[in-house]
Amino acid sequence: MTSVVTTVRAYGDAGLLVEFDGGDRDQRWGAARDLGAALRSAPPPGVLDVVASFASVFVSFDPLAVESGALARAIESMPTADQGQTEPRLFTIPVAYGGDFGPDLEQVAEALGFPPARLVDLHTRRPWFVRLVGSPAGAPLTEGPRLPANVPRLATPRTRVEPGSVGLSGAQCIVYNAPSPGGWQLIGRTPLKLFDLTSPPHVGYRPGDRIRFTAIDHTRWDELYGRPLVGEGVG
Amino acid sequence: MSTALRVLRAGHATVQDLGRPGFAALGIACGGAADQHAARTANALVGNPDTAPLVEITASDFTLRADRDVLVAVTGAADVVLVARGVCPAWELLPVRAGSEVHLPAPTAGLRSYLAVNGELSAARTLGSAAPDPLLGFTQTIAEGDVLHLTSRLDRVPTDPLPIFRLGVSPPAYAVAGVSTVAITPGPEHELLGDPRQLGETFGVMPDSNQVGLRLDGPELRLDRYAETLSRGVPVGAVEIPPTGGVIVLLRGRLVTAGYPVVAVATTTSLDVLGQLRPADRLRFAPTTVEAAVAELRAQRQAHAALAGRVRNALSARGLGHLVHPGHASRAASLGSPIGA
Repeated sequence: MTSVVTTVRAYGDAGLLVEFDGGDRDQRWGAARDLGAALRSAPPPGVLDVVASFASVFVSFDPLAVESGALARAIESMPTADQGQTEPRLFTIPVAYGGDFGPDLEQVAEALGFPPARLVDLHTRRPWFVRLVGSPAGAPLTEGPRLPANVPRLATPRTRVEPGSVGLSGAQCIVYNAPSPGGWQLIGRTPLKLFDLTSPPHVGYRPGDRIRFTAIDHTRWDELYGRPLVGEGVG
Repeated sequence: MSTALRVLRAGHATVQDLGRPGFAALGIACGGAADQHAARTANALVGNPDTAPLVEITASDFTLRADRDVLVAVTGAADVVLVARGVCPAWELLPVRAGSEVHLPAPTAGLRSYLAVNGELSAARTLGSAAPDPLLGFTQTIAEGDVLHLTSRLDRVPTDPLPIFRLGVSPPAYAVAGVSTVAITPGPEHELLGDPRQLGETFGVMPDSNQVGLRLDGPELRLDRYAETLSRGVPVGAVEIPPTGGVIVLLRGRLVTAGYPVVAVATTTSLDVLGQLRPADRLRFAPTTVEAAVAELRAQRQAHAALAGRVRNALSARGLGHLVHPGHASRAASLGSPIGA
Protein backbone atom coordinates (compact mmCIF):
# COMPACT_ATOMS: atom_id res chain seq x y z
CA MET A 1 0.00 0.00 0.00
CA THR A 2 2.76 2.38 0.86
CA SER A 3 6.37 2.28 -0.24
CA VAL A 4 7.64 3.59 3.09
CA VAL A 5 10.54 1.51 4.39
CA THR A 6 11.23 1.28 8.10
CA THR A 7 14.64 0.89 9.73
CA VAL A 8 15.33 0.65 13.44
CA ARG A 9 18.70 1.25 15.05
CA ALA A 10 20.13 1.87 18.48
CA TYR A 11 20.38 5.53 19.47
CA GLY A 12 22.44 5.52 22.67
CA ASP A 13 22.29 2.70 25.21
CA ALA A 14 18.71 3.57 26.16
CA GLY A 15 17.19 4.66 22.86
CA LEU A 16 16.02 3.43 19.48
CA LEU A 17 15.55 5.50 16.34
CA VAL A 18 12.91 4.29 13.90
CA GLU A 19 13.34 5.95 10.52
CA PHE A 20 11.01 6.03 7.57
CA ASP A 21 12.27 6.24 4.03
CA GLY A 22 10.68 6.14 0.60
CA GLY A 23 7.17 7.21 -0.24
CA ASP A 24 6.36 10.88 -0.13
CA ARG A 25 6.72 13.33 2.72
CA ASP A 26 3.15 12.90 3.94
CA GLN A 27 3.46 9.14 3.95
CA ARG A 28 6.65 9.23 6.01
CA TRP A 29 5.09 11.70 8.42
CA GLY A 30 1.94 9.56 8.64
CA ALA A 31 3.96 6.41 9.33
CA ALA A 32 5.79 8.21 12.14
CA ARG A 33 2.57 9.63 13.53
CA ASP A 34 0.84 6.24 13.47
CA LEU A 35 3.74 4.35 15.07
CA GLY A 36 4.09 7.03 17.72
CA ALA A 37 0.38 6.80 18.52
CA ALA A 38 0.53 3.00 18.66
CA LEU A 39 3.53 3.05 20.98
CA ARG A 40 1.92 5.58 23.28
CA SER A 41 -1.37 3.76 23.52
CA ALA A 42 0.17 0.31 24.07
CA PRO A 43 3.80 0.78 25.10
CA PRO A 44 5.89 -2.40 25.12
CA PRO A 45 7.38 -3.12 28.55
CA GLY A 46 10.37 -0.92 29.30
CA VAL A 47 9.39 1.97 27.02
CA LEU A 48 9.74 5.31 28.81
CA ASP A 49 8.95 7.86 26.12
CA VAL A 50 8.16 8.28 22.44
CA VAL A 51 8.83 11.22 20.12
CA ALA A 52 7.26 11.02 16.67
CA SER A 53 8.47 13.63 14.20
CA PHE A 54 8.61 14.26 10.47
CA ALA A 55 10.10 10.97 9.33
CA SER A 56 11.17 9.17 12.48
CA VAL A 57 10.16 7.97 15.91
CA PHE A 58 12.62 8.13 18.82
CA VAL A 59 11.92 5.68 21.62
CA SER A 60 13.65 5.94 24.98
CA PHE A 61 13.53 2.87 27.19
CA ASP A 62 14.96 1.31 30.33
CA PRO A 63 17.76 -0.99 29.09
CA LEU A 64 17.56 -3.04 32.28
CA ALA A 65 13.88 -3.74 31.67
CA VAL A 66 14.13 -4.69 27.98
CA GLU A 67 16.99 -5.49 25.63
CA SER A 68 17.52 -3.16 22.70
CA GLY A 69 17.19 -5.81 19.99
CA ALA A 70 14.11 -7.36 21.55
CA LEU A 71 12.42 -3.96 21.74
CA ALA A 72 13.39 -3.19 18.15
CA ARG A 73 11.71 -6.40 17.02
CA ALA A 74 8.62 -5.64 19.08
CA ILE A 75 8.42 -2.20 17.46
CA GLU A 76 8.93 -3.56 13.96
CA SER A 77 6.04 -5.95 14.39
CA MET A 78 3.62 -3.47 15.96
CA PRO A 79 0.41 -3.02 14.03
CA THR A 80 -0.01 0.66 13.37
CA ALA A 81 -2.98 0.79 11.02
CA ASP A 82 -6.41 1.56 12.40
CA GLN A 83 -5.24 3.55 15.34
CA GLY A 84 -8.80 4.74 15.67
CA GLN A 85 -7.62 8.17 14.58
CA THR A 86 -10.44 10.60 14.89
CA GLU A 87 -11.25 12.95 12.09
CA PRO A 88 -8.92 15.92 11.94
CA ARG A 89 -10.27 18.74 14.07
CA LEU A 90 -10.12 22.45 13.42
CA PHE A 91 -8.94 24.90 16.08
CA THR A 92 -9.27 28.64 15.71
CA ILE A 93 -6.53 30.75 17.24
CA PRO A 94 -7.02 34.53 17.37
CA VAL A 95 -3.83 36.53 16.83
CA ALA A 96 -2.94 40.17 17.25
CA TYR A 97 -0.46 40.85 14.44
CA GLY A 98 2.49 43.20 14.34
CA GLY A 99 3.57 45.91 16.72
CA ASP A 100 4.74 44.64 20.08
CA PHE A 101 2.84 41.41 19.51
CA GLY A 102 4.71 40.60 16.32
CA PRO A 103 7.96 42.57 16.25
CA ASP A 104 9.29 40.80 13.15
CA LEU A 105 6.15 41.10 10.99
CA GLU A 106 7.48 43.90 8.82
CA GLN A 107 10.90 42.40 8.15
CA VAL A 108 9.40 39.01 7.35
CA ALA A 109 6.96 40.61 4.91
CA GLU A 110 9.82 42.51 3.35
CA ALA A 111 11.88 39.33 2.99
CA LEU A 112 8.90 37.72 1.27
CA GLY A 113 8.42 40.70 -1.03
CA PHE A 114 4.98 42.00 -0.07
CA PRO A 115 3.29 44.34 2.42
CA PRO A 116 2.62 43.17 6.01
CA ALA A 117 -1.13 43.17 5.41
CA ARG A 118 -0.66 40.64 2.65
CA LEU A 119 1.36 38.42 4.98
CA VAL A 120 -1.43 38.55 7.56
CA ASP A 121 -3.92 37.69 4.85
CA LEU A 122 -1.80 34.77 3.74
CA HIS A 123 -1.41 33.55 7.34
CA THR A 124 -5.15 33.69 8.07
CA ARG A 125 -6.69 32.68 4.77
CA ARG A 126 -6.45 28.89 5.12
CA PRO A 127 -5.84 26.53 8.05
CA TRP A 128 -2.36 25.31 8.91
CA PHE A 129 -1.64 21.61 9.37
CA VAL A 130 -0.29 20.44 12.76
CA ARG A 131 2.75 18.31 12.03
CA LEU A 132 4.26 18.05 15.49
CA VAL A 133 3.48 18.99 19.06
CA GLY A 134 6.74 19.83 20.80
CA SER A 135 8.84 22.26 22.76
CA PRO A 136 8.07 24.45 24.51
CA ALA A 137 5.04 23.15 26.42
CA GLY A 138 3.11 21.45 23.63
CA ALA A 139 3.88 24.05 20.97
CA PRO A 140 2.12 23.26 17.69
CA LEU A 141 4.51 23.06 14.75
CA THR A 142 2.44 23.64 11.64
CA GLU A 143 2.74 23.80 7.87
CA GLY A 144 0.56 25.85 5.59
CA PRO A 145 0.61 27.85 2.40
CA ARG A 146 3.64 27.95 0.18
CA LEU A 147 5.60 31.12 0.73
CA PRO A 148 7.57 32.93 -1.98
CA ALA A 149 10.76 32.38 0.00
CA ASN A 150 11.99 30.62 3.13
CA VAL A 151 11.64 32.76 6.21
CA PRO A 152 15.10 32.86 7.77
CA ARG A 153 15.66 32.38 11.46
CA LEU A 154 16.92 35.30 13.52
CA ALA A 155 20.68 35.69 13.35
CA THR A 156 20.66 35.99 17.14
CA PRO A 157 17.86 34.03 18.82
CA ARG A 158 15.87 35.83 21.48
CA THR A 159 16.65 34.61 24.99
CA ARG A 160 12.99 34.95 25.89
CA VAL A 161 9.90 34.80 23.67
CA GLU A 162 6.53 35.84 25.12
CA PRO A 163 4.16 32.90 25.48
CA GLY A 164 1.51 32.90 22.78
CA SER A 165 3.96 34.27 20.20
CA VAL A 166 3.40 33.08 16.65
CA GLY A 167 6.67 32.47 14.82
CA LEU A 168 7.65 31.66 11.24
CA SER A 169 10.76 29.85 10.05
CA GLY A 170 11.33 28.27 6.67
CA ALA A 171 7.77 27.55 5.59
CA GLN A 172 6.56 26.53 9.04
CA CYS A 173 4.65 28.26 11.80
CA ILE A 174 4.93 27.64 15.52
CA VAL A 175 3.14 28.99 18.57
CA TYR A 176 5.40 29.32 21.60
CA ASN A 177 3.33 28.12 24.55
CA ALA A 178 5.83 29.05 27.24
CA PRO A 179 8.47 31.74 27.59
CA SER A 180 11.51 30.12 26.05
CA PRO A 181 14.49 31.07 23.93
CA GLY A 182 13.53 31.20 20.29
CA GLY A 183 15.01 31.94 16.90
CA TRP A 184 11.84 32.03 14.80
CA GLN A 185 10.56 35.37 13.50
CA LEU A 186 7.56 36.57 15.44
CA ILE A 187 4.61 37.96 13.47
CA GLY A 188 1.92 38.08 16.16
CA ARG A 189 0.70 36.77 19.48
CA THR A 190 -2.40 34.96 20.68
CA PRO A 191 -4.10 35.94 23.96
CA LEU A 192 -5.30 32.38 24.46
CA LYS A 193 -3.65 29.89 26.77
CA LEU A 194 -2.93 26.83 24.67
CA PHE A 195 -1.20 24.72 27.31
CA ASP A 196 -2.82 23.66 30.59
CA LEU A 197 -0.29 22.37 33.07
CA THR A 198 -2.81 20.89 35.45
CA SER A 199 -5.25 18.97 33.22
CA PRO A 200 -4.35 16.12 30.88
CA PRO A 201 -4.07 16.02 27.92
CA HIS A 202 -2.62 19.54 28.51
CA VAL A 203 -3.14 20.69 24.91
CA GLY A 204 -6.25 20.22 22.82
CA TYR A 205 -4.71 19.59 19.40
CA ARG A 206 -2.77 16.62 18.05
CA PRO A 207 -0.63 16.04 14.99
CA GLY A 208 -2.99 15.89 12.04
CA ASP A 209 -5.36 18.58 13.35
CA ARG A 210 -5.70 21.98 11.67
CA ILE A 211 -5.28 25.46 13.07
CA ARG A 212 -6.92 28.53 11.55
CA PHE A 213 -5.43 31.81 12.65
CA THR A 214 -7.69 34.88 12.75
CA ALA A 215 -6.70 38.51 13.14
CA ILE A 216 -7.97 40.43 16.17
CA ASP A 217 -7.45 43.94 17.48
CA HIS A 218 -6.25 45.01 20.91
CA THR A 219 -9.73 45.32 22.42
CA ARG A 220 -10.54 41.75 21.53
CA TRP A 221 -7.11 40.80 22.91
CA ASP A 222 -8.07 42.04 26.39
CA GLU A 223 -11.38 40.16 26.26
CA LEU A 224 -9.73 36.89 25.31
CA TYR A 225 -6.57 37.11 27.38
CA GLY A 226 -5.83 33.93 29.36
CA ARG A 227 -8.79 32.00 28.00
CA PRO A 228 -8.09 28.38 27.14
CA LEU A 229 -8.15 27.07 23.57
CA VAL A 230 -11.25 24.95 23.85
CA GLY A 231 -12.94 22.58 21.47
CA GLU A 232 -12.89 23.85 17.94
CA GLY A 233 -12.46 27.51 18.57
CA VAL A 234 -13.32 30.38 20.83
CA GLY A 235 -16.44 32.40 20.18
CA MET B 1 5.80 13.57 62.78
CA SER B 2 6.48 16.89 61.23
CA THR B 3 10.00 18.24 61.14
CA ALA B 4 11.01 21.73 60.04
CA LEU B 5 14.31 22.11 58.14
CA ARG B 6 15.36 25.72 58.28
CA VAL B 7 17.66 26.81 55.45
CA LEU B 8 20.40 29.03 56.84
CA ARG B 9 22.52 29.34 53.70
CA ALA B 10 21.41 28.33 50.24
CA GLY B 11 23.57 29.56 47.37
CA HIS B 12 22.09 27.84 44.31
CA ALA B 13 19.77 25.08 45.57
CA THR B 14 16.54 23.52 44.38
CA VAL B 15 14.25 20.68 45.26
CA GLN B 16 15.00 17.86 42.84
CA ASP B 17 14.15 14.27 42.06
CA LEU B 18 14.91 11.81 39.27
CA GLY B 19 12.77 13.71 36.75
CA ARG B 20 9.63 13.25 34.66
CA PRO B 21 10.14 10.97 31.69
CA GLY B 22 7.11 10.38 29.53
CA PHE B 23 6.12 13.87 28.39
CA ALA B 24 8.16 14.21 25.22
CA ALA B 25 4.93 14.35 23.20
CA LEU B 26 4.35 17.70 24.90
CA GLY B 27 7.90 18.84 24.27
CA ILE B 28 8.63 18.64 27.98
CA ALA B 29 12.13 17.56 28.97
CA CYS B 30 12.65 14.77 31.49
CA GLY B 31 14.77 17.00 33.72
CA GLY B 32 15.81 15.55 37.03
CA ALA B 33 19.05 15.28 38.97
CA ALA B 34 22.08 15.91 36.78
CA ASP B 35 23.95 13.17 38.67
CA GLN B 36 21.34 10.49 39.04
CA HIS B 37 23.71 7.99 40.65
CA ALA B 38 24.49 10.46 43.43
CA ALA B 39 20.82 11.32 43.93
CA ARG B 40 19.74 7.68 44.08
CA THR B 41 22.56 6.86 46.50
CA ALA B 42 21.64 9.73 48.82
CA ASN B 43 18.06 8.50 49.03
CA ALA B 44 19.10 4.85 49.43
CA LEU B 45 21.43 5.77 52.30
CA VAL B 46 18.59 7.38 54.26
CA GLY B 47 16.06 4.62 53.57
CA ASN B 48 14.01 6.66 51.08
CA PRO B 49 12.75 5.53 47.67
CA ASP B 50 15.12 6.48 44.85
CA THR B 51 12.45 8.81 43.46
CA ALA B 52 11.98 10.80 46.68
CA PRO B 53 12.47 14.57 46.48
CA LEU B 54 15.79 15.77 47.82
CA VAL B 55 17.95 18.89 47.62
CA GLU B 56 20.33 19.55 44.72
CA ILE B 57 22.99 22.17 45.43
CA THR B 58 25.05 23.57 42.57
CA ALA B 59 28.55 24.88 43.23
CA SER B 60 27.72 26.64 46.47
CA ASP B 61 27.51 26.35 50.23
CA PHE B 62 24.38 25.02 51.86
CA THR B 63 23.38 24.93 55.52
CA LEU B 64 20.25 23.76 57.23
CA ARG B 65 19.10 23.04 60.75
CA ALA B 66 16.31 20.66 61.76
CA ASP B 67 14.10 21.13 64.79
CA ARG B 68 13.97 17.36 65.40
CA ASP B 69 16.49 14.54 65.09
CA VAL B 70 17.02 13.56 61.43
CA LEU B 71 18.96 11.06 59.36
CA VAL B 72 20.73 12.65 56.40
CA ALA B 73 23.12 11.76 53.62
CA VAL B 74 25.10 14.00 51.31
CA THR B 75 26.50 12.74 48.01
CA GLY B 76 27.75 14.12 44.71
CA ALA B 77 30.58 16.62 44.60
CA ALA B 78 30.57 17.38 48.34
CA ASP B 79 33.93 16.59 49.92
CA VAL B 80 32.72 16.56 53.52
CA VAL B 81 29.67 17.41 55.59
CA LEU B 82 29.93 19.44 58.78
CA VAL B 83 27.43 18.33 61.41
CA ALA B 84 27.42 20.60 64.46
CA ARG B 85 30.84 21.70 63.18
CA GLY B 86 32.22 18.17 63.33
CA VAL B 87 33.64 16.81 60.06
CA CYS B 88 31.64 13.86 58.74
CA PRO B 89 32.02 11.90 55.54
CA ALA B 90 29.91 12.48 52.49
CA TRP B 91 28.35 9.38 50.88
CA GLU B 92 27.42 8.09 54.36
CA LEU B 93 24.31 7.78 56.53
CA LEU B 94 24.56 10.48 59.20
CA PRO B 95 22.44 10.86 62.32
CA VAL B 96 21.90 14.51 63.21
CA ARG B 97 20.56 15.75 66.53
CA ALA B 98 17.83 18.33 66.66
CA GLY B 99 19.21 21.85 66.43
CA SER B 100 22.55 20.85 64.91
CA GLU B 101 23.62 22.66 61.78
CA VAL B 102 24.28 20.55 58.71
CA HIS B 103 26.72 22.44 56.50
CA LEU B 104 27.92 21.56 53.02
CA PRO B 105 30.91 23.63 51.95
CA ALA B 106 31.00 24.43 48.24
CA PRO B 107 32.76 21.56 46.48
CA THR B 108 36.34 21.94 45.33
CA ALA B 109 35.80 19.65 42.33
CA GLY B 110 32.61 18.63 40.61
CA LEU B 111 29.49 20.71 40.44
CA ARG B 112 26.49 19.28 42.23
CA SER B 113 25.81 17.89 45.69
CA TYR B 114 22.72 16.06 46.87
CA LEU B 115 21.24 16.12 50.36
CA ALA B 116 18.59 13.58 51.32
CA VAL B 117 16.72 13.34 54.62
CA ASN B 118 14.89 10.23 55.82
CA GLY B 119 11.18 10.82 55.47
CA GLU B 120 8.97 12.65 52.98
CA LEU B 121 9.99 16.14 52.03
CA SER B 122 6.95 18.26 51.38
CA ALA B 123 7.49 19.34 47.78
CA ALA B 124 5.42 20.90 45.02
CA ARG B 125 5.07 18.67 41.98
CA THR B 126 4.39 19.34 38.33
CA LEU B 127 3.29 16.48 36.10
CA GLY B 128 4.06 14.07 38.91
CA SER B 129 7.62 15.19 39.63
CA ALA B 130 9.35 17.65 41.94
CA ALA B 131 12.11 18.27 39.40
CA PRO B 132 12.44 21.90 38.25
CA ASP B 133 11.46 22.84 34.72
CA PRO B 134 12.42 26.45 34.00
CA LEU B 135 10.50 26.45 30.70
CA LEU B 136 7.30 25.68 32.60
CA GLY B 137 8.13 28.29 35.21
CA PHE B 138 8.58 25.58 37.83
CA THR B 139 11.80 26.68 39.49
CA GLN B 140 11.70 24.87 42.86
CA THR B 141 14.27 27.30 44.19
CA ILE B 142 15.32 26.91 47.82
CA ALA B 143 16.37 30.21 49.34
CA GLU B 144 18.02 31.30 52.55
CA GLY B 145 15.33 31.59 55.20
CA ASP B 146 13.06 28.97 53.66
CA VAL B 147 11.67 26.23 55.86
CA LEU B 148 11.33 22.81 54.26
CA HIS B 149 8.79 20.50 55.86
CA LEU B 150 9.51 16.84 56.38
CA THR B 151 7.24 14.05 57.52
CA SER B 152 9.28 11.42 59.30
CA ARG B 153 8.78 8.48 61.59
CA LEU B 154 12.13 9.05 63.29
CA ASP B 155 11.86 9.77 66.97
CA ARG B 156 15.45 9.93 68.23
CA VAL B 157 18.75 9.12 66.62
CA PRO B 158 21.06 6.74 68.51
CA THR B 159 23.25 8.55 71.01
CA ASP B 160 26.39 6.48 70.43
CA PRO B 161 29.59 8.32 69.60
CA LEU B 162 29.92 8.97 65.89
CA PRO B 163 30.38 7.40 63.43
CA ILE B 164 27.37 5.19 63.95
CA PHE B 165 26.91 3.91 60.47
CA ARG B 166 29.56 2.77 58.04
CA LEU B 167 27.85 1.82 54.82
CA GLY B 168 31.06 1.64 52.85
CA VAL B 169 30.15 3.58 49.71
CA SER B 170 33.08 4.47 47.50
CA PRO B 171 32.42 7.84 45.88
CA PRO B 172 32.99 7.70 42.14
CA ALA B 173 36.36 8.96 40.95
CA TYR B 174 35.26 11.08 38.04
CA ALA B 175 38.39 12.76 36.78
CA VAL B 176 41.84 11.29 36.27
CA ALA B 177 44.57 13.94 36.05
CA GLY B 178 41.86 16.53 35.62
CA VAL B 179 40.28 14.94 32.52
CA SER B 180 36.95 13.17 32.87
CA THR B 181 36.09 10.23 30.65
CA VAL B 182 32.69 10.21 28.96
CA ALA B 183 31.82 6.86 27.39
CA ILE B 184 29.95 7.16 24.07
CA THR B 185 28.22 5.01 21.48
CA PRO B 186 27.90 6.07 17.82
CA GLY B 187 25.17 8.52 16.84
CA PRO B 188 23.12 8.49 13.64
CA GLU B 189 25.53 10.86 11.88
CA HIS B 190 28.66 9.11 13.14
CA GLU B 191 29.87 8.34 9.62
CA LEU B 192 30.01 12.04 8.81
CA LEU B 193 33.02 12.28 11.10
CA GLY B 194 35.27 10.62 8.54
CA ASP B 195 38.07 10.12 11.03
CA PRO B 196 36.41 8.91 14.27
CA ARG B 197 39.64 9.47 16.21
CA GLN B 198 38.69 13.14 16.31
CA LEU B 199 36.39 12.29 19.20
CA GLY B 200 39.33 10.99 21.20
CA GLU B 201 40.74 14.50 21.67
CA THR B 202 40.46 16.47 24.91
CA PHE B 203 37.68 19.05 25.06
CA GLY B 204 37.08 21.87 27.52
CA VAL B 205 33.76 22.89 29.08
CA MET B 206 32.78 26.44 28.19
CA PRO B 207 31.22 28.96 30.59
CA ASP B 208 27.94 29.16 28.66
CA SER B 209 27.06 25.60 29.64
CA ASN B 210 23.94 24.91 31.71
CA GLN B 211 21.45 22.14 32.44
CA VAL B 212 20.28 22.21 28.82
CA GLY B 213 23.68 21.30 27.47
CA LEU B 214 27.43 21.57 27.79
CA ARG B 215 29.25 23.66 25.19
CA LEU B 216 32.70 22.32 24.52
CA ASP B 217 35.70 23.88 22.90
CA GLY B 218 38.73 22.14 21.58
CA PRO B 219 39.63 20.79 18.18
CA GLU B 220 36.94 21.53 15.58
CA LEU B 221 35.29 18.30 14.56
CA ARG B 222 35.52 18.03 10.81
CA LEU B 223 32.51 16.51 9.17
CA ASP B 224 32.75 15.11 5.64
CA ARG B 225 29.69 17.17 4.89
CA TYR B 226 27.51 19.25 7.12
CA ALA B 227 23.82 18.41 6.94
CA GLU B 228 21.11 19.29 9.37
CA THR B 229 18.48 16.63 9.68
CA LEU B 230 14.74 17.00 9.90
CA SER B 231 13.86 17.82 13.48
CA ARG B 232 13.60 14.53 15.37
CA GLY B 233 13.68 13.13 18.90
CA VAL B 234 17.09 13.25 20.53
CA PRO B 235 18.39 11.47 23.65
CA VAL B 236 19.93 13.06 26.70
CA GLY B 237 23.68 12.74 26.17
CA ALA B 238 23.58 13.41 22.42
CA VAL B 239 26.84 14.89 21.13
CA GLU B 240 25.78 17.29 18.40
CA ILE B 241 27.60 19.59 16.02
CA PRO B 242 25.88 22.95 15.54
CA PRO B 243 26.35 24.83 12.26
CA THR B 244 28.44 27.48 14.03
CA GLY B 245 31.01 24.85 15.01
CA GLY B 246 32.06 23.54 18.39
CA VAL B 247 30.35 20.67 20.16
CA ILE B 248 27.22 20.52 22.32
CA VAL B 249 26.43 17.64 24.67
CA LEU B 250 22.73 17.67 25.50
CA LEU B 251 21.75 17.25 29.14
CA ARG B 252 18.50 16.60 30.92
CA GLY B 253 17.04 20.06 30.31
CA ARG B 254 17.37 19.72 26.54
CA LEU B 255 14.45 20.32 24.17
CA VAL B 256 13.10 16.98 23.06
CA THR B 257 13.75 17.45 19.35
CA ALA B 258 16.78 18.70 17.47
CA GLY B 259 18.04 18.93 13.91
CA TYR B 260 21.80 19.11 14.24
CA PRO B 261 23.98 16.14 13.27
CA VAL B 262 24.52 13.81 16.22
CA VAL B 263 27.84 11.98 16.03
CA ALA B 264 27.73 10.18 19.40
CA VAL B 265 25.62 9.62 22.50
CA ALA B 266 26.98 9.49 26.05
CA THR B 267 26.10 6.30 27.92
CA THR B 268 23.58 6.40 30.74
CA THR B 269 26.26 6.03 33.41
CA SER B 270 28.35 8.74 31.74
CA LEU B 271 25.49 11.22 32.11
CA ASP B 272 26.39 11.37 35.79
CA VAL B 273 29.95 12.36 34.85
CA LEU B 274 28.59 15.06 32.54
CA GLY B 275 26.34 16.31 35.31
CA GLN B 276 29.35 17.09 37.47
CA LEU B 277 31.42 19.01 34.90
CA ARG B 278 31.95 22.69 35.51
CA PRO B 279 33.31 25.37 33.17
CA ALA B 280 37.04 24.88 32.47
CA ASP B 281 36.81 21.17 33.29
CA ARG B 282 38.09 18.89 30.56
CA LEU B 283 36.74 15.68 29.13
CA ARG B 284 37.65 12.99 26.68
CA PHE B 285 35.20 10.73 24.89
CA ALA B 286 35.82 6.98 25.03
CA PRO B 287 33.98 4.83 22.47
CA THR B 288 32.20 1.78 23.80
CA THR B 289 29.39 -0.53 22.74
CA VAL B 290 25.73 -0.53 23.74
CA GLU B 291 26.24 -3.96 25.30
CA ALA B 292 29.14 -2.81 27.44
CA ALA B 293 27.26 0.35 28.42
CA VAL B 294 24.22 -1.61 29.54
CA ALA B 295 26.44 -4.02 31.47
CA GLU B 296 27.99 -1.06 33.27
CA LEU B 297 24.55 0.30 34.14
CA ARG B 298 23.43 -3.11 35.37
CA ALA B 299 26.50 -3.41 37.61
CA GLN B 300 25.83 0.05 39.02
CA ARG B 301 22.23 -0.82 39.83
CA GLN B 302 23.21 -4.12 41.40
CA ALA B 303 25.71 -2.34 43.63
CA HIS B 304 22.96 0.12 44.47
CA ALA B 305 20.57 -2.66 45.49
CA ALA B 306 23.32 -4.24 47.58
CA LEU B 307 23.97 -0.91 49.33
CA ALA B 308 20.27 -0.51 49.99
CA GLY B 309 20.26 -3.95 51.60
CA ARG B 310 23.14 -2.95 53.88
CA VAL B 311 21.29 0.25 54.80
CA ARG B 312 18.21 -1.70 55.73
CA ASN B 313 20.27 -4.09 57.86
CA ALA B 314 22.15 -1.26 59.55
CA LEU B 315 18.96 0.61 60.41
CA SER B 316 17.19 -2.54 61.55
CA ALA B 317 20.11 -3.42 63.81
CA ARG B 318 19.48 -0.11 65.58
CA GLY B 319 15.77 -0.61 65.90
CA LEU B 320 15.22 1.89 63.11
CA GLY B 321 13.99 -0.56 60.47
CA HIS B 322 10.60 1.13 60.49
CA LEU B 323 12.23 4.15 58.87
CA VAL B 324 12.92 2.25 55.68
CA HIS B 325 10.28 3.25 53.15
CA PRO B 326 8.38 0.45 51.34
CA GLY B 327 9.71 1.90 48.08
CA HIS B 328 13.36 1.72 49.21
CA ALA B 329 15.79 0.15 46.75
CA SER B 330 16.30 -2.78 49.09
CA ARG B 331 12.80 -3.81 48.14
CA ALA B 332 11.95 -2.15 44.84
CA ALA B 333 12.80 -4.12 41.71
CA SER B 334 11.41 -2.02 38.89
CA LEU B 335 13.28 0.96 37.61
CA GLY B 336 11.53 2.82 34.82
CA SER B 337 8.28 4.67 34.91
CA PRO B 338 5.58 4.37 32.30
CA ILE B 339 4.78 7.01 29.70
CA GLY B 340 3.24 9.93 31.51
CA ALA B 341 -0.13 11.66 31.38
